[in-house]
Formats: sequence, C-alpha cells, structure tokens
Amino acid sequence: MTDSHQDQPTSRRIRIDVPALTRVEGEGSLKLAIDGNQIKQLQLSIFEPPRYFEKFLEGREYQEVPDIVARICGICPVAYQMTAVQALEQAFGHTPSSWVARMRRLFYCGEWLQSHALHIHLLALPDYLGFDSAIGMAAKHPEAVQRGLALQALGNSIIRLFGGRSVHPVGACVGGFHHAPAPAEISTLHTRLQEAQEYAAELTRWCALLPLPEDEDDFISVALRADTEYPFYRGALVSSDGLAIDAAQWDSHFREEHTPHSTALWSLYAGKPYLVGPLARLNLNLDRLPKRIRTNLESTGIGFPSRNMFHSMLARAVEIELAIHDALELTSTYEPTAHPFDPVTPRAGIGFGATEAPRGLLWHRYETDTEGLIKSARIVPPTSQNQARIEQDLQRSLQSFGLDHSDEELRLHCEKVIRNYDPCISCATHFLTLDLERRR
Amino acid sequence: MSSARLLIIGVGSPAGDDRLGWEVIARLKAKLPDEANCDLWALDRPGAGLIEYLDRAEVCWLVDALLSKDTPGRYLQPGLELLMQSDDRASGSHGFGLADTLRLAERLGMLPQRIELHCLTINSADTLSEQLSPAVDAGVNGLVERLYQRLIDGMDHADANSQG
Repeated sequence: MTDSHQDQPTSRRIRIDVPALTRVEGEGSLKLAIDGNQIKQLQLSIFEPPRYFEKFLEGREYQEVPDIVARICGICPVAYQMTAVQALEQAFGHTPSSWVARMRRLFYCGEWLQSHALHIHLLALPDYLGFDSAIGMAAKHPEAVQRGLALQALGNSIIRLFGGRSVHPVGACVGGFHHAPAPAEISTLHTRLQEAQEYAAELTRWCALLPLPEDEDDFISVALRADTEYPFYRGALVSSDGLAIDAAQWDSHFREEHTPHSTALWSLYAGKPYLVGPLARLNLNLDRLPKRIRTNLESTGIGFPSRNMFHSMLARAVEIELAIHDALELTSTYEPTAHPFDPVTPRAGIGFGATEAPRGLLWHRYETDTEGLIKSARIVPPTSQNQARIEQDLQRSLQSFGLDHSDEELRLHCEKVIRNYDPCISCATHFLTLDLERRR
Repeated sequence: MSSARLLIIGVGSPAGDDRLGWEVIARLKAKLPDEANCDLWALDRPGAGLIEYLDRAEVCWLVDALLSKDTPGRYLQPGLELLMQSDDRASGSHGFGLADTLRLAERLGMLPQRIELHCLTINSADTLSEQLSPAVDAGVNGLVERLYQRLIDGMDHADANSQG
C-alpha cells in the first residue's frame, strides 16, 4: 500500500492481486482504479487451467477422457465427467440405458450437495455474518458450520459410491459406470438422505433470513431446461430472453474471445455478458421444482425469478434441497444391475455435451476418429462464462455501494461480489491484497 | 496402544513428492496383516472434507508432505499446536489447507482424542511427474517401517493383554 495519507487526493488507484496458487482451481487478479467518483479501470483477470486440457486430450483414447477431465476441477469433477461422456456418446450414436441415466443424475446430486454446502457454509457465509473466515465463524455459529460439513460429507458419500473416491472420482465411463453400488450401500445412503431432508429445508429458510444486500440488476440468465425435471444432466439450452437451442448450436449464439487483460477466454451471448449458475438455473426453472421445495421457497417471502445477484446464496440452498429430494427418489427405487455400463462402439463423429455444473453451464465438444481417438476437444467451463458478467456486476455494484467507502470496505465488497459467483478462483479471492495508490 | 481403532490418513496429490502420503498408505497396506486394528485412507487434497474422517476416529495418524528447503525425505513429527499456528491458507482447495482444516475441526470439537502428525520434508511438488524423488522414496520406506513397527508392537501388546 502506498501513499495513502496525502491531502486532497484527486484520484486513487486500487489494485487487487491474487497470488499464484498451485493447488487450487485457478488464479486471478482484479485491478480497480478510481478517479474521484468514477471507476476508471476495472479488470478481472483469470488464468484458466482447462485450456491446457483440451490439448492434452488430443490423440487420447475415448476411454481416457472421463478420468482426464475429472482432473480439471477438484470441486466439480463429476460435471466434467458427465459432460464428456454425454458428448462422446452422442458422437458414437449411443443412448445410455435408463439405469445409467438415473444413476448419473444421482452421481450429479452428490456433487451439487458437496459443492453448494462448501460454498454456502465455508466460503460465502462469513461475508454475511461478519467474519473473515469459517474458522472465525465456527466459534459463534458452530451449528451452521457443522451443518455445512455434514451436507458436504453426504454429497461426498454419493460421489464415492459411484466414483470410488470423492475428489477426482474414477468410476464413470463412456457407456455408464465401472460398477454398480450394492443395494445395502444405497439403503444406508437413503437413510442418511432422509435424515438430511428436513435440515436442508431449514437451510433454505435460514439463508433467506441472512442480511443479503438489496442490489437489483439487469442480466441475462442462461441454463439448461428439461421437459419435466430440474436440470442437471439434460435439457435444452435456454436464456431469459427467449433463446432455446440444442448444445450443438452453441457456436451460433455464443462466442469465446480473448481480452487484453486476461489469458482466459471470455464467453459472450449475442455479444453481451450473461449469467450461468444457481440463480440463472432457478430463474429459468422455477416451475421445475418439486412442489414441496417450491412451497418452502415461497414461504421465505423472497420472490423468484430474482434480479438480485446476492440471491444466488438462496438459490444454492434451494438446490441442496432439490439434490436431496432427487437423490431420495433415485435411491428409493434403486435396482441393482449386473450391467452398469453398455458397450460402446466408437466411430468417427462429433458430439456435444451440456450439463449443469454446480457453478453453472458446462459445455463440451469432441471430434473423434474411427478408432475413438480424440481429434479435437473444446471445453467451456462456467467460470469463464461468468467472467464478463462478474466484471459487469462489479462495475455497477461498486457504484451502487458507493466509491467513497474506505479502501478496506471496497476490497471486502469486491470480494463479496466475486465470491457470490462461486468461481473457481474464490479460493484465491479470499486472499486479495490491496495496494492503494493516490495521485496528486 | 489403546484398543480404539486407529485411523491412518495419507494426504497428498499426484504431483511428484506431494504423493508421499498416498505412498505411505499403499506400502503400509501391503505389509500389514489383515487383523491389524486400523483403517487406512489415501485422500486427494480433501480440504475441509478431511473433518468427516477425523470426526469418526478416536485415534488418528495423519501423514503429509511438509514443504521445506531442508533435505528432502527427512522425517518430522510437528506438534499439532505448531501446525495449527502455521499459515498454509494458500495450499489447499478453496483455501482450506491442512492447518486451516485442523483449526476448524478443533473449533468444532471434531478432532480425534489423539492425533499424531507424521511428515516428510519435500522441496517441491513436481506437477509434471507422478514419481517420488529418490530421497523422498527412501524417506517413505523409513516412515512405513516406523509406523509398521508401532502397529505390530501394539498388536503384540494387545495379544499379551488378552492372554493375561
């Protein structure tokens, strides 16, 4: 921090840098320059490791893809696996069995549970309860942290059941799963889900009582939308301004581009920033919620669709309820099988996959040769889709918050806005450092 | 050794020497007789997820790599207090490294009654390799032998008590 106590500042420049982290899912920085009452520069830069994976995949056998893409993210490996197998099965003209489709949804429920529980309780909640970390918060709100850990553990159990382990699971394959859980394991899981159902409903009501900022904004929501169910694994790609397309039509409506201040690709819809993630999903799929969950949400008095980005927190809680609801249904009707996967015959082709990762829409495209070797791969993760939107939100939200706040208050507000999107750099944004320069 | 079932957890990642926690678990598992009164887990950067394992154990041995400029492969047994005072916030997934996780578990009263940390020094986590360096490989063998002997001695002691 430099030169922060001069008289009559005519401008000030705030730079927020995130140190490079080697064991997390990304790195980024935020540069903020304020001149008087105007933001002169605001740039969010993210370095996204998934870009390398696309090249790694070229020349690999299709069977290797699920295990490789699982390494892209330690928090949402299931999303990468499910999107990849969907795209490759489409390229090979393979339709998964009903058993596989249902178990993939259950597998995905586990990931939403653990990821959303982690974000709400350990990452975002300290922002709203006035603590700098979950550790500090645990002394005053131990029950909240314990609830988060219990929900996270439940989600991890589901992932382990199919994936062998909860981080970078290895149980998924093109065609299905390498093994089917034993009925006794499913029964045990079902009991745990029943126990969690009520406190998940309480979580929604509890989140609605948090002092979430009133911060209305205008943005475009993009998410999947299925015929009857809340979207995890399938559905049309829709937007709040009326778009409804198949994943194969992505390139006709969305564009990835470089920006001078970021090595990551930015994704734009019709040339504009857009939102993916829990709030976008809920805004576009409110009528797909089971009645019990919708009634619980309505009891909070907070209306959806919502234009308040900070309602993302509540949307995550609702999706925890939904994941438990769906997992309960899927485990109550579970039938063991000796064929957890169907043989797949590779062929030359192009396939597209679109699923809903915890933090938003994930899109894959693969081209294969006659042997099933990967000729090319494209992966568009949710965090890069939200980048432009985060920057847009920061611009507006900071003006609305008031630029005359102290440097520390501005930094904390920036962190809160960024963390609200649950980007893979949220780990890093906890450690934003503020360098302040005031110009004469 | 008490009769409480022991939980041994090796924490790590695939990256070079950082995988030593997993190697300790794998090599120990291969040596131990089936009747050993312990559970062994190799966990991939579990972050706060480690707490769900700690919470169900009375006695836990935690094996991890310790990044240091010291000679690689050196055995250290840092005290819990010392580790929890260290600053490893940037080392774990979403900001939860081992020290943060242990601090959180302690705050919540979810630490095992007895927990021991068994660490080996490493100089770096080579993200382009899945192999241990020779020095750390040797250190892993030494640590496995150390833990194995304690477990076998504990089993002998338990046998003697049951016969007495």
